[in-house]
Amino acid sequence: MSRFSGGCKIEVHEGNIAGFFNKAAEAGIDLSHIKREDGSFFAEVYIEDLPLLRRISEECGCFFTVKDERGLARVRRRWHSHKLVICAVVLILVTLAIFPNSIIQVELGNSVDGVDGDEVLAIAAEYGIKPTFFSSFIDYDGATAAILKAEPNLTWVGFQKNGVKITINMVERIAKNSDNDTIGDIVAKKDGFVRQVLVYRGQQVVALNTPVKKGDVLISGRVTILNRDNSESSFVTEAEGTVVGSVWYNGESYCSFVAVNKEETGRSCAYLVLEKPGDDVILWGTDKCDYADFVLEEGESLLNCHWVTIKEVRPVTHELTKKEAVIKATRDAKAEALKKIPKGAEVKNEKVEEVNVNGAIGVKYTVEVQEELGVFKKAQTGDES
Amino acid sequence: MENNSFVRKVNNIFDIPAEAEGLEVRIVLLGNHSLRIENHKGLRCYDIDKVVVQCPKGFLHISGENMLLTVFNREEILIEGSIETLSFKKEEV
Repeated sequence: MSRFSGGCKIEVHEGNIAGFFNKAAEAGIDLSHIKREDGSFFAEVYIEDLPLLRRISEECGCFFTVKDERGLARVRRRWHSHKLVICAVVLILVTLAIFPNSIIQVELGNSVDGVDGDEVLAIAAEYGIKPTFFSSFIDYDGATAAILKAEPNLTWVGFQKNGVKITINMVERIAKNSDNDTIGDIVAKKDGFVRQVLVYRGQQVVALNTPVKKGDVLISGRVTILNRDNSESSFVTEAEGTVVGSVWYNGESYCSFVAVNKEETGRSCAYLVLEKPGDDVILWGTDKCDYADFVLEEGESLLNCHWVTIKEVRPVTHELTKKEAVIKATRDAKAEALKKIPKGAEVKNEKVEEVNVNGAIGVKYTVEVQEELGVFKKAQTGDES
Repeated sequence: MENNSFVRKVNNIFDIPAEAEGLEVRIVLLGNHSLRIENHKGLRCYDIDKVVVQCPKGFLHISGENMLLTVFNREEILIEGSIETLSFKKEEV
């Protein structure tokens, strides 16, 4: 007899109660927690002993009633009363256990030219990536390796799992163009002094802090590798990198000690101009003046019209001091030097030198800037061989 | 009785305890709150203040308060409660 069916509490009353307990014990029934309360006897017995106890109670002329059930009997009774709730809970638990491991849909996230999507799906299915109710085995790494092996046009395969749906994403392999257009060196585009070299691809040829001339190879597209057996092997590639160097730009200016300035004579004439696209029209006055030298002054524009004043000027000479001449020459020389600097270059140093010229002051203005020195130069046909 | 004396002699020779033959009741009293009775012959009377157990050679009268038969089967009876007196009597009452 199994004892897993649970126990119960019985109430015994009337008749030969002591005889009832004795006969029950003789029959091999385990009684426990026998207690007398309010004229009745209570005891705990196993559920499966109840039929035998009932027979014994009839023999002893007493009655017993089941008061409380425990163990599986209690579970069984509760099951009957809460059947729907228990079914719902079990269903939810089973669903939670099954659905995370189920795949309902497998699809390709994108298509790649030259790649058979059906074949990719078939390979994925071999590794468990297929619509299935309960997938216990999915080998993503194996599927990735197999797909990449079967499809040489792919360079990457990834699996994205969203709920019960798996999306296979693929990236096309971009073939490296190995023709002459992409093979070459980085050469110096102007004279300079190498300050910094950063090689992305290729082999550095030029040393730091060395002067280079225009056309010198800075980063070579021919890469030489030392093998384990101390032999050398080389290959050609597209040199890529950054070479920053110092470049000096000069500006020269001369200033005479005699300066000529323009001075207004007081004579002037004016006219009103209507601004039209392509051509202006004089509404009032004239622009015909017989001045040998003049300057123009334009007034503020109002309703597409503005005043223009022509003022006569005459040259007036005066002598400059050396200091004034140097300042003027320096200003002009600097402007000339800065005009030559390429856009974005960083000025590192400036230098001013005076040049002695008879009757004038000469200034040589030198600007040191750091800029990109290298430029890619394609290899000539046959160079890569 | 002759049979019993023969069994007892054999038990003495082989140093077998008397309770093992089932002819003597074995009582284990733990403090005054737990009483274990083995080799009993049945329950004669039970109330919360009095229990009478039939033994092979008489009746064991137990008196106390709030006594509960925690275990009752053909091998043993375990009584728990406040036990005050134990007495052997030839008669049930």
